[in-house]
Amino acid sequence: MIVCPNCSARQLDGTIFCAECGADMINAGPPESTRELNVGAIESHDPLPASGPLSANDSQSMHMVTLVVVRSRRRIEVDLSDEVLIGRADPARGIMPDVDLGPFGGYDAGVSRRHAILSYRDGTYRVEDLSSANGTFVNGRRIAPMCATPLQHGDEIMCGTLLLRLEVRNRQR
Amino acid sequence: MTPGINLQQTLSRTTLAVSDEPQLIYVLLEAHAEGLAQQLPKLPLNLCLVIDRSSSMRGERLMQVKDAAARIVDQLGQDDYFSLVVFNDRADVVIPAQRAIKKADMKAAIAQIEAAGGTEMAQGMALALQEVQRPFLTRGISRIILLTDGRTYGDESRCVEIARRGQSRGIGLTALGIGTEWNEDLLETMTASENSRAQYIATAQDVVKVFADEVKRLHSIFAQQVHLSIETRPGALLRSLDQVRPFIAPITIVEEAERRWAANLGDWPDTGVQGFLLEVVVPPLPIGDHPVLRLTLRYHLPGANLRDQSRELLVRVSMRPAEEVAHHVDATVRHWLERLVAYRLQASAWKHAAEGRFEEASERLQMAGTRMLNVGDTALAQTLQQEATRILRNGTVSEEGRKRIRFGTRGLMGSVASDDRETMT
Repeated sequence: MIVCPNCSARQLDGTIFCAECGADMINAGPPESTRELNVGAIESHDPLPASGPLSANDSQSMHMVTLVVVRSRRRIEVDLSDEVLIGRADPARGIMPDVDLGPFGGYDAGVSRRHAILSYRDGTYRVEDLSSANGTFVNGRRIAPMCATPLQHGDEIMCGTLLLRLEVRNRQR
Repeated sequence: MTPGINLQQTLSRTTLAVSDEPQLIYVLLEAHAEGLAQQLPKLPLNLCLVIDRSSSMRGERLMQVKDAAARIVDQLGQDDYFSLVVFNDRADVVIPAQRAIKKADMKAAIAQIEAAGGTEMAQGMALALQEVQRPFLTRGISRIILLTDGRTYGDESRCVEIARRGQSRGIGLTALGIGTEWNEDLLETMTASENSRAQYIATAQDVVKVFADEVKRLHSIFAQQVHLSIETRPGALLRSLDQVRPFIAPITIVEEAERRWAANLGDWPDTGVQGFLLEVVVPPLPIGDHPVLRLTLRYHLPGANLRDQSRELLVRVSMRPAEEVAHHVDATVRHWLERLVAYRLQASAWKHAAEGRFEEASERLQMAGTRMLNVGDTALAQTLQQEATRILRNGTVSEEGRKRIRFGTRGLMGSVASDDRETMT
């Protein structure tokens, strides 16, 4: 049994959201509430506060992003504490990218084994094409190889013809 | 490859820590058409449109609806049947059920419709059921599409009864509410069945697209009478089953026999994905791999003359010592569950509100807002927060806010037929 951090209801092990109050049982920080929600930011559809330093907690969570495979709506969680390699696994050649697009139709979509690097540094997300055979596109525009291109929440990254969307977590907090 | 339905499973966790307590896993079941080398012949459609022409429909609304109806006529093929019923205080057949051949005549009849009078829906529904049953189809899809903008008074139970009678004969109902005056309880009750659904059209400009998408979806139906049976291992329990893609809908599950559940899933189009989320309680098990569920999908493929097809899927979990098990949860499962939880929270908020427990209702709406924010729907999150504040202050919510929340959390706002519906705004 686990106890809900929000309403103290007892829940089965493995419960993701409390069946009583709907609170998140896994990423349990302080009890969450939309009361703290920055309504101004929502209205202007501004994904991030325009200014002001991020708290330690925020900057840490900024490392966690999700790549959404648009066609299948599959979500790949990516930890950008370090650079990650996007590509297609080829065990025979010992290539094991951090984000393997093979299971998402990467071969048919023309994803190279070593396709691109995704990174987060100094508050900016970047993608760099590794001279892949079929190229990398950001919001429909092909990016120059070996040149880190900045990304924002919601940007579309196309590897070959496989379309991914970058979602930055905790951007409203 | 023979045509059929491809079935895939994703578990919240595939590896569980051994424990002397039961544990919960979430299973995302996703199905799509496969092996359709060439388009199967379209199943003939038998469509009856039931249009509210009460005086409140006057102007932009009726204009858009007439435009949408005329475009439906254009979309239909020679094997499709079409009929049109209008109602205010009484009901009239504008176009009796017939093959969609004399399209110019049909459109001329549609153009004649004028708005006047009150709203008595049951009369319209009764006439529609009669018309839609006129054509004799050995195979095909019969459907009533109802559009209303107002409340009907006194004949609600008759509306539900007529809808049920149709559904029991395989005639699905799509109920479309436009504006903020209609009774969403009634439309949801009328469509609480597989093959039926209610949808909220916030602005008249969306009418044409919603109608066109619905006809397109009906034309792409390839599997009929899809039926799921779920067998659990001893000690395991199926706690819930809900549809999550393309929109959220609770599903009635019946425990047919000890450890065997069954559900009807209706007719499926050959485009997009049908997604379902199961909550399964796994009993304490020793270290090793264990089957937990056996899922069997049965269906007909009338276009390929294949009846009683079936697919089976075994859901297994692996039990390991606690120190070897990571606490990672699959992100896709979490995403769809989070949407489902938001839907459940708002449903429970209305119950609390009806009992006068406004504080609890407000908390549920707030939490639903947090969930929608996490899945990226900031606009709906904001509506939820506004109504949470309003209900706490005034003990009431706005008509529009409640409709946006009830249909928005299900993904049934505006146009929903395409599965590419974005989760972000």
